[in-house]
Amino acid sequence: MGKVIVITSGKGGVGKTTTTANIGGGLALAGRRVVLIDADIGLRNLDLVMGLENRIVFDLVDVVEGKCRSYKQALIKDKRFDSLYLIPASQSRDKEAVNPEQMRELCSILRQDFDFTLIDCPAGIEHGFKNAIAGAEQAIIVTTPEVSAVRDADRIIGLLESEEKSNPRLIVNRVRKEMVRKGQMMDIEDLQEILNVSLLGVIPEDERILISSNKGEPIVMDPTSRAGAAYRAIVAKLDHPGDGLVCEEAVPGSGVQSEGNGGFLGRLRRWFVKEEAAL
Amino acid sequence: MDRTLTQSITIKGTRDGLAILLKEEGEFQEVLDALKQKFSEGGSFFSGGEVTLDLGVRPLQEEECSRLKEVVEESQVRLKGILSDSPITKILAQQLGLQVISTGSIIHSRTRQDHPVRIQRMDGTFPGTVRSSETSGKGGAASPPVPGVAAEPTLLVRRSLRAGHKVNMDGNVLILGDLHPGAEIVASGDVLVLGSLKGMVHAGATGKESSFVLALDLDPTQLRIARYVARSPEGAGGRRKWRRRLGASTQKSGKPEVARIKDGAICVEGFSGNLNLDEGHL
Repeated sequence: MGKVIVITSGKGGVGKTTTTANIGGGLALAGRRVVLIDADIGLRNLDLVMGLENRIVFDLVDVVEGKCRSYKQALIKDKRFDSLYLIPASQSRDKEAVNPEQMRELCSILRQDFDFTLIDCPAGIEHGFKNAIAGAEQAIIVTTPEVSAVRDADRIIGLLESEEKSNPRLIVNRVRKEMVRKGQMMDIEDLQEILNVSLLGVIPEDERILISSNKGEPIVMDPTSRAGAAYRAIVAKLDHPGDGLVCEEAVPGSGVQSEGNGGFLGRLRRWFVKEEAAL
Repeated sequence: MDRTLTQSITIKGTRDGLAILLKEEGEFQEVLDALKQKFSEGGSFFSGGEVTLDLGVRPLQEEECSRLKEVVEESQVRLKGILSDSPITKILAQQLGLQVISTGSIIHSRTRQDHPVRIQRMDGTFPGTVRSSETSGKGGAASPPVPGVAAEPTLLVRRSLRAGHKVNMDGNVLILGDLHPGAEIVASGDVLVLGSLKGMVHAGATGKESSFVLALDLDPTQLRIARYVARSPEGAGGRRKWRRRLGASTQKSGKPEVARIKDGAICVEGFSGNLNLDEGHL
């Protein structure tokens, strides 16, 4: 039985689509059977970023409406990888064209045929968001170290908790080490404290991402890029959850731990331990 | 006449006219049915004077309040007003256009029963009073209640509240966790946060100026008590401002603090374990 993971953020433009493409590509490079679903109906982007736009025949709306015999007709195989597939969104419809129940049905079928199903969630908290999370049992929250993105991520985590998709994991994107060092950008520990979810990975700002998007070549394929390396580290964690061999640092060499904060009692203890340390 | 129904309501004559006491506990629909029955049987009994409806401590839902209003209007009984000890009921009744009489202006026709110590239900239908000793003997005089005990229900939230979460409570609120920026608490009583308070809080929302807000780390986006509003003073320098807006700590050593109204303004003091509330503030 495969896993269905939704990649969401609340805020737009923080890197959900890029993350979906790269984690998907990375998992396929590791030998897994992966399908990507673009749930951003009306504003589809995942196909562009993967360079697969000109091969689209059927899309997600066609699948749920029954216009094609099975979802397999809508699958686009990415020839650069052994086992990476895409179900694109529709460009001319809108998010009301699909409902959460249809997504749940589709995901239960895909779960049997693929090791990983990654759903690229649209920005926002309305119908599109509800569609995207309906079929998933796990969630990855993408944020950047910026006030609005963090606030929206907090809202999204709250909404996911109400839908009982608990223990979402965080990816912090577009981090600039220099700015963090100078105190102009928040550091990862602060973010973890504010959002209080476990950290999956940190992606450094890399201008090669822009180039790779425009070319339609996910950066995880580039062995020299730091962002690519960060995505590959995330893929290693996803592929071997709880494997003792995987290093516990979210980003190797960064010294950042990835464990959660130990719940309410753990946090409460920190108040009083700090008090004692001050005496 | 069905005996069980009529106990839902009791009619008393007072020098200000007739008062109908509605049972404070139990299903409101039963009480409404009894009231309807009483009105239809009453006929000339109710005409020629005005009637007061005494709801006691029962907190009403919005829908129950409008049903009550319907029953009164259908019966053509002249309503002097509603008497209630519940702040939320008073507000709802006023919003629906019902006249609310403040308890000071009419002779109490209901003997307020004081219950012995009991577990409080979180929905507030069984308000309790803590006494310094058990009452004993038939009809013996009750010992005076211990001061400083709030007779309102308290909501206990065993988690942190994130952006977008909102708590509305007729009573007090205690959060075992943090209040993230973007989360809100509106309470008619006091608010305590055993964690970081970085969201918006409105204590004493129905006007109780003796309400307070307590937090292990008091760093709200906005803090309101009754009709007073305050925001945290701007930190020195740009770095502290943006960190505060994110919700990051501006200083790692959070000390517990209490906010309350003193001399006409919201004032924040360190909390050392003793609130020093005046005897008069109950």
